[in-house]
Amino acid sequence: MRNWLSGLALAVFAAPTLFVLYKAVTVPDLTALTRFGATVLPGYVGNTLTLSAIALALALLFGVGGAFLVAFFRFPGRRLLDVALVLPLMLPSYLVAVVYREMSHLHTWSPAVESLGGAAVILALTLYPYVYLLTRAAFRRVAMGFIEVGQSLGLNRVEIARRALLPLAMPAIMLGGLLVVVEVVSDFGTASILGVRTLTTAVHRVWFSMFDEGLAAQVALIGTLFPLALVVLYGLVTRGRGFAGPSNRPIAPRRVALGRHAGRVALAFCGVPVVAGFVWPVAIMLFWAAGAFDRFRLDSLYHDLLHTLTVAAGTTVAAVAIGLGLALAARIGDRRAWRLGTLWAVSLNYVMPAIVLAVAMLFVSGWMYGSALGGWLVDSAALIVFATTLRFTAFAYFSTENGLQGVSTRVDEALLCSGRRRLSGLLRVVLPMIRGPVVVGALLVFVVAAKELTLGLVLQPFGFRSLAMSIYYFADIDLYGPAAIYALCLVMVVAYPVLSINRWLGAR
Amino acid sequence: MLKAKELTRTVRRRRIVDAISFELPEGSTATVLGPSGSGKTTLLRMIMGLDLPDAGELHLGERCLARTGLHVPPETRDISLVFQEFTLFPNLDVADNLAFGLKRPHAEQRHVDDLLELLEIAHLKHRRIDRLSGGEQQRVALARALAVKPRVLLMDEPFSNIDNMLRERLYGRLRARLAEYGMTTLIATHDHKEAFFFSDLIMVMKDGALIDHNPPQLIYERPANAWVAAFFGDANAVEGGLLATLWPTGDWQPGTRYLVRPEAFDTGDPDAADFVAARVDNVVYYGAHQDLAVSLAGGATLKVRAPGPRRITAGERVGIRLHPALDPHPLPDPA
Repeated sequence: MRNWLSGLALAVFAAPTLFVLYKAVTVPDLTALTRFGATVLPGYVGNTLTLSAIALALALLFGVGGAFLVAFFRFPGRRLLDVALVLPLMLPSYLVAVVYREMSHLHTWSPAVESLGGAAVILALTLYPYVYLLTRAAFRRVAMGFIEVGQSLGLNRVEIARRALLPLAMPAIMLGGLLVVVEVVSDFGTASILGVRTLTTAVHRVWFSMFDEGLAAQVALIGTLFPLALVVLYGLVTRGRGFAGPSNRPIAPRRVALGRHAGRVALAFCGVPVVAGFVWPVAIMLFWAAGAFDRFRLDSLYHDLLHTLTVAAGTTVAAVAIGLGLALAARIGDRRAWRLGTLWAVSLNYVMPAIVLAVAMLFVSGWMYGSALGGWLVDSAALIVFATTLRFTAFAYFSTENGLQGVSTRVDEALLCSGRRRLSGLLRVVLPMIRGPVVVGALLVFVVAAKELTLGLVLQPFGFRSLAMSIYYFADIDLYGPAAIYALCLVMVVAYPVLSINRWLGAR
Repeated sequence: MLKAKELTRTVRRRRIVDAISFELPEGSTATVLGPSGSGKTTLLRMIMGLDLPDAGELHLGERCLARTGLHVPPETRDISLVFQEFTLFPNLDVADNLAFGLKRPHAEQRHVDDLLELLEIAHLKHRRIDRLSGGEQQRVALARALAVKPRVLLMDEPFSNIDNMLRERLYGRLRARLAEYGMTTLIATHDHKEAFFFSDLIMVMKDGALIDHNPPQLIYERPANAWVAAFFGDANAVEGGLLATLWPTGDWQPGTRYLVRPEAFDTGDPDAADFVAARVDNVVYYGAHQDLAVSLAGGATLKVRAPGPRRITAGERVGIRLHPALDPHPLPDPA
């Protein structure tokens, strides 16, 4: 029964990928792709790669640099920045893009952002917290023991950081970088708002303007290749990496006080992404919102808020249940092939651009439309929740799996020896042990589901709008006041989960 | 010389290390012995410079390493520490872990190979750390600290994960190598056999305080108190009046308690002239010897060590006498 359920879940998760693959290879002739490849495709690929590379470089600079400074040094404002550096995660990239685009239209002193470089900077500003959170957690988990060993062998802090801390934190840094690249490749809102043509916007155009399913699937697969290559690279680099010793007895890093000048430089370095990625956009939105509030209808905001909470909470519950179930099934089964299959089925839906998943969902809903279930799916928010669950279960699964890896298999053996059934034992004993990772996974799913735009735009039933969708629509017709009110409401929705993630990954 | 003067560390109003003073001559080996939580690790970490003392001074030769307002960074102390948790770098293999602290790793490859041979881990040279057993990881950690040839080597429970046979092989080799390098060595352990093997000086800690420090034989035969006596093995604290009754030839002072180790007794015929008859209450057989709990006619009980070959059984009558060469030592305070 357990295997049957897990198998069904895996089949459902693998279906979108298989569907896209099927659509791509069953195209009767390759004329469209050849023509596309000879004309605009290289430009799209080039733009996507350049956008990813610049955004990744900047996100690594802000994320790793910020984490390194707040984890190991003492300087004015460090405590505040420890939390503040994570705040840009509250803002969807497209929202920040709207703010900067409008500022550049209104004021000559504001930098022009409607370019590849501008889009990359904005994406980096809103996505670097992934790198920051993971790197900081890695530094805190492994840091002090290894610093002490380095010191006892006569190495100074710079040598220790270069030769031990950065290599040890590399899996976390790479994972953060991978999340950034996946989000950049998948991004539709920022690229379309700033007029940057990427593979994702191309898929959107091919599907919705040219109505060519086969070509859209082929372009989508090309778009998936780059993050997929990074996933494989990440797997190869981090294979079999464990931490010996101090992870069992974490000790808070003893921070080195920076001098006055160096302290100011550190404050500026960490402050720039916080101000540019959060403080400034929020300040502008507050200004816009204040101007529009007296003409604003709260009831529509209330409905959109309710829709957003429904989608985010529904996705969270489903993703955590499925992620937990799959991770526990993989642990009980303990078969490499099963584990690998789960890993790929779950992660592919996140790695492929959201637009591809949306298109796959459209096909599925069209196919089922005649049935009662199909009708219910299309006419309610269930299809969006289904799609966001498929896309974001990766967060819940990997977070849970990461927690389970920290629990020795000796615990399972002890449970078996105690005569308790393994599943009930795991739920009774192991589940409380991995409470932290499960909660972090749930909070992450909630945040990304609440901010998700692409799936909502494509799959929305009649009369259904989330906060993210309303922000996009209002901004699209230059109604920045209402867009700002919705945006601030969205910020409030995700504020507590984001700060909780920061606390779980930082303090505990 | 490594010299500590009134070294103290307090954490949350609890004195983890309480005004400890000692002097270790250059090239000597000492052991800090004590039960878990007695402050051994904290003392080593303070000497390494990883934990700061609240008071006291630490000197290495002419150089002051720590005192109020002065803290020499750990990396410049010329001291190395073998951590209890090994703390090996999981991203490096065995050889790279060993070479981690070397300034010119390629030039010192032979030195690294030599240490790998010494600790019987040469066959693991290119093995990943997560593929090593606990004992192998511990030997790599030991070799890594030795590789940098510090002036002072600190070791925190360095043999706790190594099996007995290998441990006894390593003891001798390691002691010879430490002497060859001329390293001043301080080992924290709770294994008194290890302490006896390595030490020129044994320091005993309890609740953060140094309660005894002496060369091994003195600390065994003339411990500072009954607790130290018991820490180093079974001990009888026998009242002088009782000893005078049983063995009147000795110079026993009534009212004084004397330390009599179980091996200080001979066993023999209970009816022989110089033996006192006793009844065996309990026997624990250890192969080479057996430990007896015996009752004397007046009701007093003693722990006695008898040779292994002739098995003694509970309920049996045995004769016991004090070994003629026994030099009685009073215990300063009651147990």
